[in-house]
Amino acid sequence: MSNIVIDIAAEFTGKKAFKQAETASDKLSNGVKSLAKTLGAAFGAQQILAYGKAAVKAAAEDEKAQKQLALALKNVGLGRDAATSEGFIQKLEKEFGILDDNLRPAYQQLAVATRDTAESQKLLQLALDISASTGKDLGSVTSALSKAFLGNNTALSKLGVGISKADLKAKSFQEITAELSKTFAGSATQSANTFQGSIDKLSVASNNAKEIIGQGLIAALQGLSEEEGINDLTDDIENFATEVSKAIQAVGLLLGLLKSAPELLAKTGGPIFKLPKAFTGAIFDLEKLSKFTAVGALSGLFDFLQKPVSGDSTAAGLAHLAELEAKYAASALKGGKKLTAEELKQLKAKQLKLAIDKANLALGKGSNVFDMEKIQLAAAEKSAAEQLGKVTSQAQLLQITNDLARLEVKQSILALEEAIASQDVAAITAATNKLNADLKIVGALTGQELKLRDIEKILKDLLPKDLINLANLNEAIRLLGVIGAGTGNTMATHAAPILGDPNKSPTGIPGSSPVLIPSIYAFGQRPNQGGGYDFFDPEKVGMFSAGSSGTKGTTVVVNVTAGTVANPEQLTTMIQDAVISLNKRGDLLTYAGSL
Amino acid sequence: MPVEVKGVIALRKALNAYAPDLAKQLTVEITQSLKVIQKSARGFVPSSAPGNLYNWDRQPSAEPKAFNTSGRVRPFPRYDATVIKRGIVYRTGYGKPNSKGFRSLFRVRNKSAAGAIYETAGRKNPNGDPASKSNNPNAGARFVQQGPLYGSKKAGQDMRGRVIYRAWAQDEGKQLKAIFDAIDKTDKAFKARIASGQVKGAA
Repeated sequence: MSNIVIDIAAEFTGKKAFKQAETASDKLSNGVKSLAKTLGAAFGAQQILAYGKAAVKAAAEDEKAQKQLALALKNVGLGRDAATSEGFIQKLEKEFGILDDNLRPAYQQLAVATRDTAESQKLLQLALDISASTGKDLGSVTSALSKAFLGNNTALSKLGVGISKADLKAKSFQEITAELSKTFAGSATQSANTFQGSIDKLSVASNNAKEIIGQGLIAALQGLSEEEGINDLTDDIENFATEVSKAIQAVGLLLGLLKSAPELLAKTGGPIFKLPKAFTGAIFDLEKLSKFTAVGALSGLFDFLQKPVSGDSTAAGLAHLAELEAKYAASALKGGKKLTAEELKQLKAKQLKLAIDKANLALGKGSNVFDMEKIQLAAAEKSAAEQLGKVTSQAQLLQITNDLARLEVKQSILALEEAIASQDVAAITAATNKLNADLKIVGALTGQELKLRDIEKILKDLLPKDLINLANLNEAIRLLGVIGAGTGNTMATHAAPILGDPNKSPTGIPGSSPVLIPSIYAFGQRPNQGGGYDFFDPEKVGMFSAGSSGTKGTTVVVNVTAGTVANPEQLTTMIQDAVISLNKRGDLLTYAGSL
Repeated sequence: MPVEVKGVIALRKALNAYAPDLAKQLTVEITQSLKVIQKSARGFVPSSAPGNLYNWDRQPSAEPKAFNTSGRVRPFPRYDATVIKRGIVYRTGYGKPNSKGFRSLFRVRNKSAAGAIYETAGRKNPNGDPASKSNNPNAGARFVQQGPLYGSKKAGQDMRGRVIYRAWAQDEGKQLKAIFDAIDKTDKAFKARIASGQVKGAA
């Protein structure tokens, strides 16, 4: 494919080799972490149990493979080389990162075929190279080499190792292996030095660690259980994990118990159910301690805390606790009874004091409304009203009723005072209630009186104002007469202003001189130079001549000469135009053509 | 050489994760610019084989299985304007890193074989190659005679051609600027969203 392309923009993201190295490093890191994670990730029984099982299983299988290899070598007469062979396998495992689980069967197969330790090791080394180079699994290569050693080259030809069938037929096994060694020399080493090889080595190390841990577990559990069988050991592992889990929970429970210990001590007033002894019995359980030491001890503590508190070791503690509780309950009950009697006496005193207080309060209220003079007055009015036979108004009836209620209040007050003097709570209470009821009635009546007063005030406000009455009219006529009949130039005295009370008649005309208000007297008067006022004089305005008494005040002729806005001709023209226009168009009152 | 930028891949990943609408908008705007180059480049493809290149577009009666003996097994690509135009494509997705660690962000490609020939013929031997084993050793010179190579050649990259390189050279960076403007605009819009708290899940 052509690569004609325009890369418009590019971003540097790192070289591929760097990426590979980073990825490989990550894998290595993850591989290293995985072992630690597997061991310490979960502080729980399941993970520990699972890993323990896997470790024991791995160790057992490794042991089994070792024994099988040793047995196979022994059967072919190589028993004395078993240790050497095992060491060789361990060396290859570490060098090339191939699990001994794969190496042992291969070595065993070659050993069985060659019956020679040196030849087996040489062929195993060659098989590793071929496997690394061709990608074939080690078992297939080893099988082909074993068969070729025994004269069957078919399997070898199928491996595709670059040897023709003719060569396979013509050449001896030694020559063929020599050629193969030359062809694939260093392949396994080269492969082991790659990143993948490093990871494989790490994996091998991890598996070896697992096997070592498993071996340790087997040895430990064998010693603890004094039994040899693997099945029993796995059961013990489960028990171990369970005990570890219990131990962890026991720590939490113990902390919680210690936190609540002060409260329990304070409540019971002493040590609670002999805890130290129970703890001692649990923690230093020799049987559990011999098995799992501290873990077993904590687990035992957990069992102790989880069990119902009914065992022999806690029976005394329980009895003590029950005894304390019973004592406390009896004491509390007994004390409660005494307190009730005292409280009853105090309660009675309180009730009496409360009743007296309430009575005093009612008396205080009663004194506010008690007035003997009013009562006597009311009684007099009542008597007068009865004599009259009927009341004259609702307000009077209300007032009489109010006074009667006050008399009832007075009677209730007297009754209450007598009850207080007798120290009878029931009587005091009853008298107090009656007094309060009477006071309520008085209060209600007082409210009614106030309402009536309010209504009266409102009605007065609603009445129309008497602005014009007969007195005002008479006074106005009198003043007009004074004005019209005046002959002097000045008023000797001034009338009082008609202000203030409209129903009051003016006084002092003539008389004293009140303050004048010029606007009032402007009608028909003129102010003079002396500060006074002159009455209206027609002669001064030229309405008639002075001294003509025959016409004075009888006839006034007024001639008015008024001009027009237009001369007569123009006015005539305007009238004519108006008539013509009216005749043509008409108006609101005259239709067109009517003129 | 392509323009080296930084952070575009991260930006587009963030957009895809937290603002898909902005990611789509950015892709649309980039596509518009790339389409301009694509359309221009397709316009430079002759409808028939250039002159003096006899029988390039003619289908022989007996098509040879291979046009040389160097292991190539397919026939020599015939000139077909339709195929060449169809082969001028653009891509907006970032590809795999090359040997130097660069990842292409946006690109225009002339991917047909005939198009590649017409695009680049005459680059190496503008005067022909007498030592060539081809049936037409002077093909390079004939191509150059038909039309010059547009673009520039710099150390490490020869960006001379007759189709997409010509379109890119004649654009004079307008679309490149438009693409970067679109990226900047989207970047600002995305940051504004983050600042306003409209982007959920973004720190």
